[in-house]
Amino acid sequence: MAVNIDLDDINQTTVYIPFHDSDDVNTDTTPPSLFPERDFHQGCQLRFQACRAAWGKCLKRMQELIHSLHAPVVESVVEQVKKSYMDELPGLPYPELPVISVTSSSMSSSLFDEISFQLEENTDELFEDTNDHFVTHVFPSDCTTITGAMKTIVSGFVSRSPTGGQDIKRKPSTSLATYDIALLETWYRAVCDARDDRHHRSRLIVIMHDFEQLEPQVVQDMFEICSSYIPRLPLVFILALASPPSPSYIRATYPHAMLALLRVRDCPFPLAEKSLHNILLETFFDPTFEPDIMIGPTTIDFAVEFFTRHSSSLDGLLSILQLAHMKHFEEPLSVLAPAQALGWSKDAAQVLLTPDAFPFLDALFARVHGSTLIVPVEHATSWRSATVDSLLSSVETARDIFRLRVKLFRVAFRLILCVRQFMLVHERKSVQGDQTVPDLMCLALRGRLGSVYGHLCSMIKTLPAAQLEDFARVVHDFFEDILEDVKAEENEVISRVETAYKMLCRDATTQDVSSLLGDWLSEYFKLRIVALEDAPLWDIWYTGSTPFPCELINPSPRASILAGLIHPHDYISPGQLNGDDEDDDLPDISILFKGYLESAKMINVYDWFESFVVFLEARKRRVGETRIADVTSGTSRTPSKKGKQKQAEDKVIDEDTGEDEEWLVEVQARFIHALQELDYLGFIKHTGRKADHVMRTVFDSPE
Amino acid sequence: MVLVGLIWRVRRFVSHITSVTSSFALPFLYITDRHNPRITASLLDQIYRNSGDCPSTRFAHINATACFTARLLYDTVLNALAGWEVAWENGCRNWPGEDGKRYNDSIDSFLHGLRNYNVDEEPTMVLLVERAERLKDNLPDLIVPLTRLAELSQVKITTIFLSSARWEDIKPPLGASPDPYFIDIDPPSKQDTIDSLIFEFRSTSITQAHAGTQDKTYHPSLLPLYEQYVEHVYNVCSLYTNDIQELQYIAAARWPGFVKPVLQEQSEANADGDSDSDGTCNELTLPASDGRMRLLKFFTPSLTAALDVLYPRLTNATDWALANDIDMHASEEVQCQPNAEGSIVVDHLPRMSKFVLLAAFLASTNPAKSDMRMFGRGADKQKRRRRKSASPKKAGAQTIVAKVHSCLLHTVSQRLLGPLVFPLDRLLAILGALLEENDVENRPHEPYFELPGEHTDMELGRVHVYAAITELTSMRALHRTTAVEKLEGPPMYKCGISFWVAGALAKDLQVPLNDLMWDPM
Repeated sequence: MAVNIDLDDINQTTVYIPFHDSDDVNTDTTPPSLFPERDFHQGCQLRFQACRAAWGKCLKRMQELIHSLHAPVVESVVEQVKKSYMDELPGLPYPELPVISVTSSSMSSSLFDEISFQLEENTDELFEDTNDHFVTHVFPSDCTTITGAMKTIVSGFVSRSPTGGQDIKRKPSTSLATYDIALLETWYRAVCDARDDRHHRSRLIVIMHDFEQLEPQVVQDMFEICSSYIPRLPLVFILALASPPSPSYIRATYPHAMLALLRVRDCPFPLAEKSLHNILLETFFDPTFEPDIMIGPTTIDFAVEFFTRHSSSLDGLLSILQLAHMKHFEEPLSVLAPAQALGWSKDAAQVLLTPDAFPFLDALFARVHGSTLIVPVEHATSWRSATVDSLLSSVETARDIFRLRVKLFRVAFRLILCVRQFMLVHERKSVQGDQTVPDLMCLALRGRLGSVYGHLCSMIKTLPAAQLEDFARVVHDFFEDILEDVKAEENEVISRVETAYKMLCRDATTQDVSSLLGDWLSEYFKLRIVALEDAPLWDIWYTGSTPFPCELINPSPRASILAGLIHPHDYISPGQLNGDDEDDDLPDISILFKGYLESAKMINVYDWFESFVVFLEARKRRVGETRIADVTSGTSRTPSKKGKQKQAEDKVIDEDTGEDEEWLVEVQARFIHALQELDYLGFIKHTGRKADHVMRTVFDSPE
Repeated sequence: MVLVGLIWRVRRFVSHITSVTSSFALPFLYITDRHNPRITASLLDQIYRNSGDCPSTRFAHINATACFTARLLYDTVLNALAGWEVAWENGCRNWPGEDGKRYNDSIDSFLHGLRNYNVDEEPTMVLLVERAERLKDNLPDLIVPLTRLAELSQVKITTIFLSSARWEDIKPPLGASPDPYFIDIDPPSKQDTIDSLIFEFRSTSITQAHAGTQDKTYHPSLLPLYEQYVEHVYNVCSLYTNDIQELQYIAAARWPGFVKPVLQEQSEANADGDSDSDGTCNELTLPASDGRMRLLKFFTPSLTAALDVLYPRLTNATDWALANDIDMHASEEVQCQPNAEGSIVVDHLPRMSKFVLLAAFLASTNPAKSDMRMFGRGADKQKRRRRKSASPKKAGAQTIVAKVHSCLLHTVSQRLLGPLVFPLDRLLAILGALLEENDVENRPHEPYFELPGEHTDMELGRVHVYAAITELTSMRALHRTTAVEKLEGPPMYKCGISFWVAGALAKDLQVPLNDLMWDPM
């Protein structure tokens, strides 16, 4: 589209330059690979699919675990709602309005959906106990005034027809107002008549979301109105609080007069940290569950650190682990992570036997032959006969080896936890140390758990007779419960434990058995708790000690902007670099920013412009165009005269012609553009205190 | 009987009120009850609902909080005066009157509606407005018409305002309302309080008997014991609260535990002795006087504990009664109550949020000028402290008053004056100082930060620090005082936590809070 733009027309004060979306012609669906030297064309797509599958499996497991955390809370809330108005203490001066406060900071909002589902629809068939309660939701946006709040509550219930049939039309003028709680009372009476519910068992539940956001004055009035209608209207309030139960927001904010009307009960949530440990343990260290990708100690460390330091939300944990998965699948070899990643062998050969897959095959070949998969003796001969099939089958073997190893590792780790738990129960305080469960996980994954299990095994040897028998039973039961395929692998230690158990039953001397058992277990742990990096091709299924990309989760925008302005080359993609000298292709804004850092608190804009011109001139000269020399001298003749921009421009215009004039206009436009950008980023404050001056806003030297 | 006094006093009040209203001598009454307006309201309600002597009296009892719009007030009053039951089946219609017109759109139609009652015989009407002080905020335009209701509507209606505030506080300006007939309710004496609690015991025992429970906690024959118990409760608690309902609340929470030993003794005696027929064991034998004294003495500490926890409603009576159900036979160990101040648990917050809260507390308590001195490196602890006795002696006589005044102002600690407002930048600066002094060892080591403080600076600019501030604001642990839409200038905040919470946080983070406060405890 051609638009006639005459930038020189002085009558046209504003010019509109339409945006043409023509720059991104080379939009490719797949992003460029980070390791082009050993990737192949479809690799990215395939890795993306594999990543989705692996993360999906992991996510499903974790969501189940989180869901199971909700269950006891939902149950206790429902229980309290059912019991409300029934378990009142006799002799109180007046009935209290039941209020249940649930802290939901680390929880997803699905908790309240679950609660309302349980209360409204779920039917307990065993006791023929129908939960036919009514639930309505109140959000802070509805409650800016008391009228709005009451209207939300009343109409939330009344909109449901009590008889199930056609709703009776109410005349807006002569009927009760929609915000009148008397309307709710009438409706509730109709409901009870319709259901033949003489004991008024149905409760009216109001769930108030984001309770802290509600206006306290409105809430006070609302509670006062509602409390004057109980127990005729069996209202129950559920408050969704974001603040922790202690120090209590409700008690700190509301006056005694209102608190006296309520019967507040807190619904305790399990400590967030404990649930984090549990989720990590059950997802990655459960013998019965096999995640596609095993996460390494650095990721666990980061997740725990982030969780305790910045945000104790389980959603945050999910994002961290998802990011760890995505980071892992950047590596081209990880395309082989799922079984039959490239389809059956024929398809695989088809995919890999194309010229652009050769670097990938090459890298794979080098890895396979560098590993222990190939017996050293065969090295000399086997490379000749290597085909795609044989390479892939080696990978399959490596996968089986890794799988088995991780599985046995998990079992051994669980046994260590089990032993530790036993010692804790039996008051051996020294076991505890200051290691949390994630600490132990990291140590185990690094293969440095020796001191821990060594200590535990030496403790076994000192167990008194009665406890030793218990202990043997615990270990025996532990091995009873594990999967069959693991049992087959671990038959040695199992038979040993069996022996020890039988010896104890036959009343052998405790001393012998305990030292034997301790040694056997120690041997077993030594065999199984080893760093996973020893397995061949481990980096396909294990993130290992790759540093976690924490800048993506918790970036520091200020530092990034400063760094970007000072070292723009680190941020421009390598393809666009062309000059040798660094100064030669600094963006305008970076040139300006250099002057900014060198200046005092107030910056003279004209001086700034001058130095910008000098810089550009110098660059231009270096490039080789010497024609500008006299222009440079022309401008540099007035460097220190402030506020005489006009004069300088006049001189320039007088002395130079054609191209040079154009060049100066271009420089000025570039300066203004870069200045605007700095302004937009917030580096400049226009005070108006001094003519031609602007103020710096950033003073720290970020070098 | 003790109740005679109470009943006599109530009777006098009742006869006073009814004579005033039924004869329609006074159209406007103002009852001030600073102590128990709720009880007075329920008493008035009972008087008028059960008044047998003047059957033609129609009565409406409204709460000024609940009637927050004029329409709500008209509807409620008219329906109540007419005794009209709103039914769902007819579309929740209001009282239709004779002409079926609409009465709730303005004060004129409301008056018209009132006149419509005068069809056959002229009834006397009473309108009781509870919490009348709220009318001033909610419906200021209606105060004058309500006080002149009889005059405006030409019907025999008496308006009673019941409030804990004085008439002077809500009186409309320019004498627009007539002066009411004042009735002030005196604060209840000790005997009144005890009598009314005993009265409540009787009504509870009657309802319990009607409900047919096996529970004998409120058995009528326990009444003499209850009298003694209530007097004891009053003696223990009256130092802190005189409120009848609060006392009743505490008494109700403790009573089941208190009578439990007595009831247990009874049931054991019944089991041991030949079990009589059910009719004869209706009477419970009460313990002798020394037994009662022992009981009272035993329960005294738990009564103060109950007051500590229940008066600020840290828990509720039902749960407290369950938790403190003492088993006499088990052991006589002292109940350890969770102390209100010691029980502040702060481990729900992430570490950074704790630091942010602590920095906010310091920013809100310390004067901004002191920051350099308090948080600057190199200042030793002696220098940091504010000089305690800075009293200039050379004041002239004429400025002494001003000096004293300013001294007084200065000596009041900021902690008592409430939090100061501070900008986000100051919060971040203090946070940086706190982190640099107290958090360096707890961070994972990063090798590429070499300069001292560089790492802290990096951590301070991270997105999740800002996220923590926003999250704390949504928890109302910080209050944002500038509007969210306002972009220019730094956002201003105010700290929302108390000194005790800050102390608990500092203890958790091992920060020496007192050294960092300009005005230490």
